[in-house]
Amino acid sequence: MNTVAAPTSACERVEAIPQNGVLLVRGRKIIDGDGPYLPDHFPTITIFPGVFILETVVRSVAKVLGRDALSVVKVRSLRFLVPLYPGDELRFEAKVSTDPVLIKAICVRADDVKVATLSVECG
Amino acid sequence: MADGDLYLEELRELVAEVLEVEPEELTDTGDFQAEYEADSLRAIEMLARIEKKYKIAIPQKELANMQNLKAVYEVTASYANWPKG
Amino acid sequence: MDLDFAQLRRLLPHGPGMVLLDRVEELEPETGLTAFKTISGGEPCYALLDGSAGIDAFAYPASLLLESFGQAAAVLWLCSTPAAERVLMFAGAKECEFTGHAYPGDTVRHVVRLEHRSEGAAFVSGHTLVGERRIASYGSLTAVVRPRSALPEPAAVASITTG
Repeated sequence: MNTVAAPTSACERVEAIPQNGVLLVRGRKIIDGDGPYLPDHFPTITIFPGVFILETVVRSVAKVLGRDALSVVKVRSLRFLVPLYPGDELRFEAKVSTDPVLIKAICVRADDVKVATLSVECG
Repeated sequence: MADGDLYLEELRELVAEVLEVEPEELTDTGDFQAEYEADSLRAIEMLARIEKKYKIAIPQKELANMQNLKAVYEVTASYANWPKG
Repeated sequence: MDLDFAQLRRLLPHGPGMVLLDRVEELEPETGLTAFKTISGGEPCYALLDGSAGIDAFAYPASLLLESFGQAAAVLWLCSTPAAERVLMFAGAKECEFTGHAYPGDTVRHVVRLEHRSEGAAFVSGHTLVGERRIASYGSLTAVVRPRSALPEPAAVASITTG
């Protein structure tokens, strides 16, 4: 049951570990080429949209915080470094503080190549 | 040479902002990739900011010659016609 | 210069379900443009919402608003530079704020300004409104140009071929 609109899903496997006053959140997801929007991005070669990486991380953090309606309020910095394709594994590690919810995440592929970094505020 | 120093310090601030470090942390010869975790996206951002600030155009291929602050100064100086440092 | 949806579909490499713009107006190459998108309740991002969801659940996701704005930036770039076998990749964003929401039935209006264009990248800024209400502002969006042939190997394929 989804309570908020989203173009892509949270990671199925998400864990949260309190560490030095913040929450260390980790998640993994295999990119599904048949997900919504994906066949059209692009018709010649499917690439997981960078903004869907952001959405995956935010929805995953929302899941562990028990705050389904969490949404991005500020993007301090968002960087997409390497494309992700269907079948690739997206892994992220985020430092999350609450009140306000700040997420600083590094995203890598299964071979540890960095694919994205993000620093956002959610509300 | 005073002008050259001024430009070098301007570039230090600009590059430090792109690399998200303090200007004091950015040495003249520290390699951007090895010491400051720079990637190709930061390199492109740095180039664009330099082009915009000094109103010059620097071909992307020069990025290979712009791996530390001193090298950035030298390439920028040649396209902007500054005194050699 | 104005662009209608048919022209946008021909211009952008995205398939129809991922063209998140309906219309462009006031396009001045090398300077800026205004782009419109009407939000529809039938979009895929709403498909999995629970039937009992209230209207708050239908707030258009910030990620898609950002993508829509990014596509408007891509249109500006594509109309400012000679056509070539290249792909414009959304590379980054900084200092963006999402201060309001758009809902099905709203038309969002993106105002895009080209800040700088270099050989390998384009940098834009701008904001998004619904009517006169500003719902988002974008300090800086970066897109990088890649020749289509230079797209890297997918990790899964690369690991099979290199062992």
